[in-house]
Parts: sequence; C-alpha cells; structure tokens
Amino acid sequence: MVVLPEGEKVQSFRNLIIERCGEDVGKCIQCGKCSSGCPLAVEMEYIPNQIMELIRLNQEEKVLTSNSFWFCASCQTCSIRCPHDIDIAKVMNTLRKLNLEKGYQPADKGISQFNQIFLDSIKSHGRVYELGMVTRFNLSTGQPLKDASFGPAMILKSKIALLPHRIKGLHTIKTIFKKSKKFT
Amino acid sequence: MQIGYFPGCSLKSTAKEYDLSVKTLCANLGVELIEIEDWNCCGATPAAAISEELSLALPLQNLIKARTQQLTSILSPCPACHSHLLLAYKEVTSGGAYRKRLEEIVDQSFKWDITLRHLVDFLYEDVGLDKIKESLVNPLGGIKLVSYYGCLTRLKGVEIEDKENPSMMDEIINTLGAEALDWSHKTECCGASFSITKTDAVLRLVGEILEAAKTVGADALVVVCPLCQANLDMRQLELVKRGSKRFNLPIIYLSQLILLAQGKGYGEVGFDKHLVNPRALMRGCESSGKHMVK
Repeated sequence: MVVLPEGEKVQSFRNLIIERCGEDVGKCIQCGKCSSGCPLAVEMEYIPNQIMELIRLNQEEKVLTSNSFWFCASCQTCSIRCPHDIDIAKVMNTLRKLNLEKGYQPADKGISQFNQIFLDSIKSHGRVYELGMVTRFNLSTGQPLKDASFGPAMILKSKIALLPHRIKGLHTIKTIFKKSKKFT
Repeated sequence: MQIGYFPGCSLKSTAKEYDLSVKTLCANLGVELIEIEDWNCCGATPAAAISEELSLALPLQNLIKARTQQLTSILSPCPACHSHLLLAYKEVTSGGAYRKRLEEIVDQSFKWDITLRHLVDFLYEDVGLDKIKESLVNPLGGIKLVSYYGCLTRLKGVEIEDKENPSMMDEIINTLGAEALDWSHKTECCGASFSITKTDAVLRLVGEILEAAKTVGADALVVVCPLCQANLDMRQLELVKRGSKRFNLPIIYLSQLILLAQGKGYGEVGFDKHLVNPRALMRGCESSGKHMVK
C-alpha cells in the first residue's frame, strides 16, 4: 500500500503517478544515472531525470505532450540503476497510458500507431502477422517502400509469412480484449 | 526430460532458425518439447503500453492452455515472451493487485505450480554444463565470440544472475571450446522494439553494439533473443547501405552455436536463413582442424 505524501492535493500530477503505478518521483535526488544509462535519452525532449523533476513540479501538460516516454524502450536500465529504487521505466509506461487516457496528442504518432496496429493484429489472428502489420504501418505513415528491400530476402528465406496464421481459440482472445480495461 | 514449449510469434516467422535450432538442440540433449496447443501472442510491449489487464491476461491464457495439457514447466526462447508469462504467473500466484480482475477476464481461478524457463537458465541450470559438454562432437576451438544478452537479465520478472555483468552464456560458450570475450555492450539495449518505427535511432544503437564487438576482436555475436537477432542482422546491412563500414559480424543464436559443436552443418543449424552469412565463422572453426563445413 502506497501512502500519499501528507497535506498534498490528491490530484497533483505527482500523486496521480503514485496512484497509477505506486512510484513516487519525490524520492528522486537528480543524480542523473537514469539518463546517462538510457540508450534513447538523446532522442528525448526531456531526459529521464528531467521527467522525474517535471512530474514532481506537477508539470502535467509539459510531461504528457513531450516525446520522452514514447521513446522509452522499456529496457529497464534506469530502473535497475536508480539509487532510490524508483521504477522509472514503469513511470514512463504509465505516462504513455495517461497521454492516451487524457486525450493529449501523442508527440510521437508513429510509436502509438504501431502499438495499435500490433494489437489489432493479435485481435484479428491471435498472433502477430508481421507482413500485414509492417505494411499497414508503412502505409499509414506515408512511407510505403520503407524496408521494402528486405522483403524479397525475407520471403526467399521464408522468414516472413505471406499469410497470417489464425488461432482456433480466437473468440477467447476477443473476449480478453473486450473485458480488459484500457489505461489500467 | 520433458518441458512445455512456448515459441511465440517471432519464432514462427523472422526467427525460424531459432525455433528450428532449439528443437534440434533439445532432441540432441534428450529433452522432449511439448508445444502449447493453439498458443496466442503474449501481447509484448504494445499491450503493456495500453492496458495492464490486457498485458497480463494474454500471456495468462497461454498458461491456462499449458495447464490443460498438464504441463508443469515451460520453455520460452524469446525473452520478451518469457518475461510476460512470468509476470502473469506471478500476478495470479502471489496475490497481485490484478488477480481478481484477471479471474473475471479469463473466467478461471488459479492454483498453480508452473516453472517458467528461458533458454539460458534452462541450459545452464536444468541441463547443466556437464551434459552439454558430453554432447559435443566438434568443439569450437579457434573462434572468438561475444555474448549479447540485450535486456534479457533485466526484463521484468526475470531473476537470472547478475543484471549488469551476466556470465551464464559466456560459460556455455567456453564449454563449447570457443572463447567468450569480455566486452562493454553485453546488456546494452539494441532498441529492437523501435526497429520499424524509429529506424534511425535504432541504427545508431546497432552501430554502437557492433563497433564494440569488433573492437574486442569478436568473430560473431551470440544472442538469445529473436528481436535482437533480427535487428542486429538486418539493420547491419542497412548501416552499410548508409555508408557505414562493413562489420560483417554474424548474429547467431546460442542454440545454433551448441549445434555446431554437436557436429551439425550449415543448413541443419539454420545458417541459410541469416542475412549476414556465418560461413566465414564456420571456416574459423574448420581452420582449427576440429570442424568440417557440411
């Protein structure tokens, strides 16, 4: 059970993060270990330790409209190195969900779009159908020929299936999608 | 020995040689693999990015299927699948916050005892180095390799050895007669989950990892993740197209490497499916006088 810091407004952004994932960024001492080990920090508008500080300062909009958490690869390097045991990768994942839930425009459309296409693939087949997924992503992002040069080699080496495999128990998967609450 | 098998989506497409080599390896080691019938995708990172319930319920469904087949242990060669199965299992067996909701979603209650294994801990702990050693026909003298764990050791739920400097894979490589080199990028993320969406960023990471391997004089990288393999193999060619130097570093699965030492040939280990051709690596083994290219 996580106890909210005393005397603070329950819906402060920092408390919202605590509520959602149990991680209190207030423990952050700004040592910067998370950012120095992050393989994708250079792509981020605010690097991980800055995101921690912005959350602590309740800068909800600044955080949720940034591209930082979309670029998190969930490699967990930050989380295992944090001297105060803040699960930073978990906070980043929570920010992805909050961005969608609160209706902010994702600063990086590609990644959220890809996630949706990936999930659609599971919903329709029970498994991932790579060729369909990559084609749909490339078309929807206006780059139809991206990675097309790998296609023939991958098909020749039968490393990519031309047709999807549909599992027999697809109805169960559809039920799981229907019953699972979004943004949990 | 008998163990349940959860290949996951990648092993049925871009990582077919991983599937093939794990199956052949297990047969060689006297391990019977029983594939989970009609398994479904574990949900991977996209499910977790939208719903915790979904990302736990999808892998849980596979555990339910495994249980109807009376399987008590499951081998998942893909670290991402393995991590998601583990998280779902831990959530329902240790009374996690989502347990009740998950029971509603999959319409089942849980009283389970399942052991979940990735290839590395399965080989190291369940099979053991001695048994691997006994199975060798052509020890791999003369080749220098780096073990690349990617984020395997730090994935959620996974509790295998040192997160920053793991050595299980290195020990297995040395057991095969090859030399596992010390290097800097053992557990650096290759960014595979962004390979399609953020190719430029991923090319930078791939370039750094390959450069580090080349610097210590590796002949190849040994991997245990289908996403790492596809990313480092495929994007390596793209780096060349963009003017980078030609690393020419084969990205081979640990299971393929053991098969080589067990005397299997090029096609039998699935090297024909690689983009960066591992033939030169086989010549390296051959020149040590112990291995023949078949």
